[in-house]
Amino acid sequence: MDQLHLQEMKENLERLVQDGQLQGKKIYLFGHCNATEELADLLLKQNYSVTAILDNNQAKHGSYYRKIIIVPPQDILKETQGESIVCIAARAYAAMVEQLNRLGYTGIIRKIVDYNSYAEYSLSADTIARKQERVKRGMVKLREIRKSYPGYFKFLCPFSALGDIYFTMSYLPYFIQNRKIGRWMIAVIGNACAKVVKLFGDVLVMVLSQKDMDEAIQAALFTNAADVFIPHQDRPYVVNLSKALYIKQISLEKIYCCGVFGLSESTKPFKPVNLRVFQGKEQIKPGKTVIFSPYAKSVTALKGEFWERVVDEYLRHGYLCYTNVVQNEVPLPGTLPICPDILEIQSLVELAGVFIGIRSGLCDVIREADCRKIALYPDYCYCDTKWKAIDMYHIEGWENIVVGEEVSWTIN
Amino acid sequence: MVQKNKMQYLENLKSDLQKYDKIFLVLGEEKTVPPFLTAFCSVILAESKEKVLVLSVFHMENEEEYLAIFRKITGKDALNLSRLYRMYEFSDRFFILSPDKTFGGIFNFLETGLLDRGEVFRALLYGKING
Repeated sequence: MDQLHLQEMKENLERLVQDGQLQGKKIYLFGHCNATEELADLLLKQNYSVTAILDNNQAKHGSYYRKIIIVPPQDILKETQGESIVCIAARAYAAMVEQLNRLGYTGIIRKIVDYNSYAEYSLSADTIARKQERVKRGMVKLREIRKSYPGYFKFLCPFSALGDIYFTMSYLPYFIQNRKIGRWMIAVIGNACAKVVKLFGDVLVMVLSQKDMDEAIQAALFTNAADVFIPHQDRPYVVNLSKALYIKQISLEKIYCCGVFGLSESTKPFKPVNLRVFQGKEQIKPGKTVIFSPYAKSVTALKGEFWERVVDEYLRHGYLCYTNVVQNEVPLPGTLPICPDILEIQSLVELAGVFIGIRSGLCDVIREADCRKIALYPDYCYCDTKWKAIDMYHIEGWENIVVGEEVSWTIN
Repeated sequence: MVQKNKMQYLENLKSDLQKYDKIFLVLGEEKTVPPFLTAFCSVILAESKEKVLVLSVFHMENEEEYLAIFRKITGKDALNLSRLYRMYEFSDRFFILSPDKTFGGIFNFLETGLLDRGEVFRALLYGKING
């Protein structure tokens, strides 16, 4: 998960601890995802025990994260309700609260991270008035964007994820052609996403905060803005593409190609054109360096012991080992930190010779690199579906490996 | 009185969200929506174990057969519901079904041949992604 949300999670958790709300309570988490795992880690670090993770996905029931069992949401009803607390660090917070209420749970529920400013499951006059104000703020933001880019069609990307932006840019030119769009610009959240846009050429890109983006998108929806398109596979709430996964396994790339942009399955994606040479060649042993990427935003993490085993193996064979890190991320033990510019990272891994990463958006950014590329997948199901992460995120031309409980690693 | 009438759609919505598991508002053009409604409601009646309500401003063929799940509403109520839906996510059990030019949608899978019509209906009825 990103650093801002992690910080928010830590602060909210600290508040719960200070207020004594966790004291003597059986702690449940809801929704097994990367953020929930982070929350579990934080709780365990503070010596709290987590009774279970509630999750709607039957395929996950009975499995464990750090000895915490994953169970159906209705299991919460087995508890004496005044003695339990459900902590939620998932985007579907409002839906989860409603589900718990409908099940008859009357205990404490706490939001640990605010991932979703669109949702509030209430029709009270107070809520509606607040949401009207939010739309008004969004209209102001949208007006500002229009003023900065008069006459331009606007693509508003709702989520800060490199992979989503990569797929958007891969298919956007076809969409622009089909819709006969003339001048256009794209707005994203964060500089890293802006860099991914720039990989695809000299594009007009604007960086917004998550809050401004959410509100501008809401205003665009509310006003049926004819000069805006929101290119995302499951955000905001009006986008119903993920429901198709109940019926059929469709890779994330195909969801973008066919579902978001309405293009035929055989459409060939555009590739990055604006690549730069890595400015730090002296740090790299050409062909004998590994770039590790152990961090991902949405995919659940792999165990530290696994990474240690892989790093040891490469060090033993005389490889130089780096961990790609951003902000406060910590390099894997035995590796050095490296933080290349996104425009240079393909050049870096090609020089290094080997890239090994958990399947994240970074893998998309370097998917065309000419080197050994290994994408690692935790053995888990995607959201509420029966499809595994590897089914959804598999990359052609890569070594795609599912990491289970026991994985030995040898260098071929 | 005017205010009361104005807010009646909201009271109906609150009550419907209590009564039904899922509510679909079907919007679109008159030439395409009624056949869609008939086909969609047939699948719901035949297959769904949930309590589903379908709302639309249009008539459909053999409307009386679908009274349990279909309700015709006024254009004004449809507009109010649509505006509310576009203002914020007030429930994950209320959906508007109409192709929209502002974002992608499941009907693109139908047009690109990834799903057939029955699969789209079932995805809309049963699909729930709760990450």
